[in-house]
Amino acid sequence: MIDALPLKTWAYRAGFVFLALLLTFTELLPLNTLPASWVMPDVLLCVTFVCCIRRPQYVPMLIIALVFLFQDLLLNRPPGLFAALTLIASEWLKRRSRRSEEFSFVKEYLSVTAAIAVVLLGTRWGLGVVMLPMPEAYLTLSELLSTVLFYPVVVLFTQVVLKVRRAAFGELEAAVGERA
Amino acid sequence: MAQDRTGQEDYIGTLKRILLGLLVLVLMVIFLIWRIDNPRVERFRAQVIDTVLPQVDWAMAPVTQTAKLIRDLQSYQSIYTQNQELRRELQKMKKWKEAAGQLEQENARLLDLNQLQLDPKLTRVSGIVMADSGSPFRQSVLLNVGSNDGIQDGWAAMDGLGLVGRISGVGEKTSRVILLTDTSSRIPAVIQPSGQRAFVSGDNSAAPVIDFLENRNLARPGDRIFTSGDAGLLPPDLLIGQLAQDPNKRLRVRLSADFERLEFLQVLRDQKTFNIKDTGALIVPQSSAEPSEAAND
Repeated sequence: MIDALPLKTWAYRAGFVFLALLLTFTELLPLNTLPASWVMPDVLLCVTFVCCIRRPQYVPMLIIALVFLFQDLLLNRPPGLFAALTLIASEWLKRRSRRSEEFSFVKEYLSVTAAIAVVLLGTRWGLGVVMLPMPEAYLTLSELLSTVLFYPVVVLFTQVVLKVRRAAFGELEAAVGERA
Repeated sequence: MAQDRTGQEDYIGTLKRILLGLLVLVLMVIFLIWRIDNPRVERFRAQVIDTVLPQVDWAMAPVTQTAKLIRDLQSYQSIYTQNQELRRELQKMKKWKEAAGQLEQENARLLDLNQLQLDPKLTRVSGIVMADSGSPFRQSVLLNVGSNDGIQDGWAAMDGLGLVGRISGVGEKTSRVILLTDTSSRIPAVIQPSGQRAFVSGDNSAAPVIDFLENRNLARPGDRIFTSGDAGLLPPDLLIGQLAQDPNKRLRVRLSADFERLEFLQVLRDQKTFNIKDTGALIVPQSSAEPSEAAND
């Protein structure tokens, strides 16, 4: 079944992993060692969700789980928690995108906002559940806000520069049929 | 779509759901293991970073330098005002230099009187900052020296002037410095000249807070803060910064180290550090019978 997948899909998957590594290392650059008062958007989260809605076959579960676990380890986050929540949120987005024939941008944006909120607030509360000190609320909220605001930029980039639109209903069906 | 789904697709859907459940379970188990056996997982994290980061250092270093160059160019625009400021500061510094010279002579005389020798164990290892924590919630930097260079957990890291943080997490070629600004950083300190003990605790802002100060009235903004060396946590008498008051009347530390540009750090060798190897035990009363006895008394 996997051998039947076209080489192009694997190339895009490799591209996603490469992009994820690139974004992680940019975050690690020691440019600002002062505590930030405003948190930059989580670009990788935006990119992942854009892929989940537009080309779900390029971001399979296993790749998402591994990439975000790796990022957890490298970026000093509690390992596993952020990755698990991202995995759940992205599978939910994939299903919503696959189920609905028409997926307007407003609907997409609302779903993605919910997904981002689940991931970021869930990470915060997950720490609270296991009785660890939670980060300051304003940091989490500013990260949430900036990531939500940044999402349309990523969408615009994929549509205008990469010319990737959401796969039409039939195309996706065909892709699923191909895999089966 | 739900109606015309064939049996095969249904099968794949179920398979996918099982895989999703398994993956989430594995990730949550990793999180719980991290919570329960933190030192072991953090050591694993240090190893991962240790294998990954030196591989990409060749790419990260030039990018960092270029970005810094651009930022420097931006600051050249305000070079005239800076120059004026520097002249004024230089004037002040000359005054201080004079004072320092006199103090140095006095100090030498006093040391001679005491027959005192400076601690030869306090030697340094210099390291270059390779990366920061990458997360807005954590304040730490990675140095390019590790256990191969003899670095151990708990050692103090300074820039030229003041304390920057403590080593926490050592790989073979890299080590992590938890900065004073991190929320988990607590440093026992002494405020001079009043000699009061306090804690310098980071709170994710540029100026850490002073905690557990006994008598606030004795502490004045501008007082100097040093490590106290209590509990053998850090060597004593390392400069941390100056006392300052924020608008909410909380005492904070204006750090002496230049946290905006951490490029080279010096790690102080310290012989008597204790390593955290396991998760540690619960702190319980000495014996369970005691509280009731105390109540009877």
